[in-house]
Amino acid sequence: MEGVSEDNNAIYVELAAENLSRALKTAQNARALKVKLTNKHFPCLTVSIELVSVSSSSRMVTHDIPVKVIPRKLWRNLQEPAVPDADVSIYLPVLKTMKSVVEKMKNISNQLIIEANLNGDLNLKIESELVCVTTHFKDLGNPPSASENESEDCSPEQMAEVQVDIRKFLQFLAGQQVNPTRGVCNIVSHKMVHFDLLHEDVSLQYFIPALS
Amino acid sequence: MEPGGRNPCCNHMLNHCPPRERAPTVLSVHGSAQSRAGQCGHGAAACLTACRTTAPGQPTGPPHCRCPPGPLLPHSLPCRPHPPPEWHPWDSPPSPSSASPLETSVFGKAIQALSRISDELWLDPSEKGLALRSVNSCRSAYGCVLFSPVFFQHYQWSTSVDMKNGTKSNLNCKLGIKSLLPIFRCLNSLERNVEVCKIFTRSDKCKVVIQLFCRHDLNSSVYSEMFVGPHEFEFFQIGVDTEITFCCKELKGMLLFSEATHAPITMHFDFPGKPMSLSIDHMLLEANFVLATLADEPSRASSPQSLCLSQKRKRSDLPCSNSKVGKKDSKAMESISSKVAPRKLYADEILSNISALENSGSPIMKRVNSDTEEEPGSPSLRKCKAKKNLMEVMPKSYFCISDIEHLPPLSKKPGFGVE
Repeated sequence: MEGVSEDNNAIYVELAAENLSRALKTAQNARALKVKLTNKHFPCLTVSIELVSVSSSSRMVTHDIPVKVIPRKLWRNLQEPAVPDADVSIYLPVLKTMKSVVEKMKNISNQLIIEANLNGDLNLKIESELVCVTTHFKDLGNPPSASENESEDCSPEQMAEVQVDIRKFLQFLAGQQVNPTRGVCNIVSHKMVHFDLLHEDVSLQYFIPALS
Repeated sequence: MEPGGRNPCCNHMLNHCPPRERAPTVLSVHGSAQSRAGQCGHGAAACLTACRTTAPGQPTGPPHCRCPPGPLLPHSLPCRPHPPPEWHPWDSPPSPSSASPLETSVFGKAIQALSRISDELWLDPSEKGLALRSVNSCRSAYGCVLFSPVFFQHYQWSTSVDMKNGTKSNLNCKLGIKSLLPIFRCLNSLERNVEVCKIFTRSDKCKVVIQLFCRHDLNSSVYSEMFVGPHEFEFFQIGVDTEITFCCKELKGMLLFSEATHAPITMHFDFPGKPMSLSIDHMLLEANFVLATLADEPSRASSPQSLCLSQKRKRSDLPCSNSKVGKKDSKAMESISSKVAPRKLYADEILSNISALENSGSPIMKRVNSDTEEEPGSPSLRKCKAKKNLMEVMPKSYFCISDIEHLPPLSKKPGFGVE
């Protein structure tokens, strides 16, 4: 694979996620899948899928998804955001459990508070006029902290919290099809929450900003 | 009541409006947006146009019609729209005015609202605007929506037309609302895709022409192609190189049904424009689906779609994901002559590359591509024509190949094959 040039060894393209997702649906039981950047009168992402068929040979399905190539001068807008130092880092519980809990909470309020401490405790809290609901997750474990300041300044019991839009959090949870090998939640108090999901060969990161 | 059977509600309105000495007989209502390259020049079989100008300061709602419900005389000139096989607006459309965003959904919603009252809709143009009226058969409900002229980008109605027998004819236009409703079924899609909507009618013509000019952004559609080898079929016999285009949505229904019956499907097709048929011949049931295909225009260049799918023309055929071509229908097979000839560019064997989108809902047409330009008069085709009873199966009435949601992304106006 080659990029634009040796110095700029990348190609940035923009496409409608729905088009790619629909094209990939045909690849559920594919033997092989190849993605190419092609030019068929306009730039396309060509997804070639080799399907298993009843006879011994395979069947090829090709989808051409139109894409927009992003010029180099706009690349800096699309760089990975710098991750600020987290106040607390904690391993996530099973995503499915969180999802079922948060789905019920969504009916009560739109604002969700995520708080965690260095003792392996993670709480999900919502509040309304009539009721407060908190779900406690314990003994989750914390990844080894890179920063030395944290262990000095705050006690392990102290919670770092952030309030986010519950729908954004649910979108993140609903999107996960496969349970990650490891999921880390980094909280920057009152500013944002950062999720880092590690699968075998892939890592996915999500940033959800705090509600103002 | 006015003699001549004019809509008495209009007469009633005349008490409030300036007298109409000459009834409007030519109605041309149209709106347009900027035409762009890639604008699809065709619509569905019937096109309904309603356009709207967003002129600031103008009232957007129709004024109140105070006509009480009253008996409507049957008019003397029934005006029933029917979708003609080819669209020739006898009135040349007025030139578009300056571009402005258009909405057909308000017009469509008015028709939907009036459809609750009755199965018939009166179209009544005047200098006040275009009125849509409806009264139910037991005279217990009446509805009227008057669109003022500024609702439309261009609203033109003219004086009565001289008939051949010397009389003057006024526009008395009653439409079957069931013909109009399907056009407005998908208002969301209308808002997104329709750029211009035109309505034409004349009192001496027995139809209302409604045209939808849609926009299809070629650069955002997905193109898909699937190759299925002949060995995947139980029976594969092709006589002629062919490329056919038909609507995916209708095929999907048939495929789902065949999965339920676990029966093989037989597919017969001919050159573009001729219908194709899908049939299931089961012990307990028999099913036949006939779909129209797009006809080839003589000057037709390759569509952008086929250019995009410019892979090598491999040997492949019919787009059955789970079904196989049955071998039971041997009599039908006669129609497609099969010549055992070595593969070459102008071989008699059909080279079919079908684009199939298995799970996707994007508006893709299935194409069966060929490398050759088949002359309609070629001997093998004539043979097909003579023998097959596909034409017998084909209903006599014209029908539309696709609905608004699934218009093919072609920029040219196709002629549908009609028997």
